[in-house]
Amino acid sequence: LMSALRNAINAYAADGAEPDAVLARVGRLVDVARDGRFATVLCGTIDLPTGQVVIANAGHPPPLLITAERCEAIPTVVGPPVGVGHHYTPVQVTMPGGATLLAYTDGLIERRGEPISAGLARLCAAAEGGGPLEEVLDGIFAALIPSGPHDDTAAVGIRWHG
Amino acid sequence: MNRDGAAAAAVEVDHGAAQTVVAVRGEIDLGNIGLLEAAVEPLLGRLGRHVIIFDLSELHFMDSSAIAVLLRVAASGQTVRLRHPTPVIREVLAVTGLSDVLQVET
Repeated sequence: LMSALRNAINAYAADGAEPDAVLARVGRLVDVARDGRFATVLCGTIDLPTGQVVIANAGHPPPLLITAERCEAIPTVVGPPVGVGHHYTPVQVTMPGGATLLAYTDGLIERRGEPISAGLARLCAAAEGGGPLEEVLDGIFAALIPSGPHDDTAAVGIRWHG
Repeated sequence: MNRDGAAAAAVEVDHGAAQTVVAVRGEIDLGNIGLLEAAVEPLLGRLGRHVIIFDLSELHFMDSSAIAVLLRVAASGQTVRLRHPTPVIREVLAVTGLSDVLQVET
């Protein structure tokens, strides 16, 4: 399912659709009532020269904006997972120079016995402090998944230089 | 709370005349989702619109596999309500964008 959705997302995005429209269209390919399946998706476009990022969110944990001074969840408008609903609202953020955008799957922050907000706080604590992006990502996995990554944990970091 | 070992849960189904109450207690994840699936499977094929209430007042963790079960039941044409979800479960519903999709009884 994931590779099928990823191909469809790439195709719609290449066709020029905005992130919210991409998610609405992808939502026609999977239906929890018919297939018993759904997916959470963060879909975004990046304008490299300006650092402007437009993000639409289908039931996914919020991406983080990390700078030397702070780590905060980007306040996306959370719509239903793909396969459950069709309406999404994009948000726009401008990435400051040197900032890192971090997206990740729920497996990274969900832990039995604690709320998601506690997992988010642990993620921010592990992500702060700077250093090369590869080292930051390694540090995040070492801190949050000490037993080694599962196949349902993934993270993507994008850093702006300058 | 059982942080390291397998998740422990109990699922109890109470068939009433007007509605079916499925009480889910403990913690549900991929490792023990079969408990919940087995409990709701007989409810999925029923004809007509029934009211199914998931009592989540003693559920303290659920992952996306449990969400998938709730969505499948809701998508089967039955009326699904979530009764008294704990704050942890409310947070999961909000983060997953389901607060407006699954009806919550407070």
